[in-house]
Amino acid sequence: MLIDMFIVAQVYSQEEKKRLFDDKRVTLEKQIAEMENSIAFINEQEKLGAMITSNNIILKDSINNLFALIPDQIHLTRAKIDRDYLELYGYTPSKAIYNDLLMPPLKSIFNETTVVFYPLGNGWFRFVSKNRSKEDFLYEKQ
Amino acid sequence: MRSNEQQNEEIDLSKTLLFILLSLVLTLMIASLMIIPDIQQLKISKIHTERSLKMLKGTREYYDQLSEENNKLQEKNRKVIEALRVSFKEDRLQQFGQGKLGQFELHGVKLEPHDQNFIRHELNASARIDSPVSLYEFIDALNNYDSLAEMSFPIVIDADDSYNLDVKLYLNIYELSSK
Repeated sequence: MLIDMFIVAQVYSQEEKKRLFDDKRVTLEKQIAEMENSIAFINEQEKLGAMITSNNIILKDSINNLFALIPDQIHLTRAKIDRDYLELYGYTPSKAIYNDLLMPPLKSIFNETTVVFYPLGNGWFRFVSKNRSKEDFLYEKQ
Repeated sequence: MRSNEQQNEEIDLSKTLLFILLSLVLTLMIASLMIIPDIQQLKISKIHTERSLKMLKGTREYYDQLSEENNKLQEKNRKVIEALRVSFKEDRLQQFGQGKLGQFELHGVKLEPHDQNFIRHELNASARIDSPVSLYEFIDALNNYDSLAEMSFPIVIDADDSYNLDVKLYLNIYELSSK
């Protein structure tokens, strides 16, 4: 009888241990779920941060490239830069200078390029150039 | 020759011994019948406990692995995590812009949800600069601003006769929708 009581006590002790292990596992599983959410959220923040940093760099490079496109002979007075659109206003000594030096790089970037010249009294031309791309030509998609 | 009385005594002793032996065997049998199911139960309980322990170890291992990954990610992205927790203050951005561009003004703020986790403050701004280089430096500085800041389209640049540039630009400042 004594032996039986000892065995029964052992069974009880094992069941207690099992309950303790199961409780700890359930607690850990809850913490794991929270941690997985936390990791997913950090990844989201990282993605947003990387996209914004990258967009800022692309924007800076784009403005830099735009100014580099303009030949010395042409004076730019206004530039409107959008995701899929570029509008340039300025003065050119002749239509040929615009057509030979500025039009080719614009055509290589944009799908539609139009320019209107307005003659000035001193032989120069004022121009309005409108350029549109079918896609977002600068940015990564957000 | 042994007497009849002696013979009877020997028989009684044998009977008593046999009785004791049988009683002992019977007691052991009864005890065994009671103990065996409990031993079986103990074995099953030990198997269950070991299984639970194994599952707990596996779960703990995964938890430790995730915890390490979480800490590494937090460390790696500390800058952006902190930047997204900074509450937007217009005057601070104004000071920042003036510090980098000189003449810099903000014209209105609009609050937009970016997605379920982030909000976006959209601002119109204008600046007067003497060279595009100032604008490039401003954009570089935005990437190190204490909030998550983005310069956005459209950008309008007007040059005047004295080669100063008037710039109209859009800024987006991001922060967590709930902190």
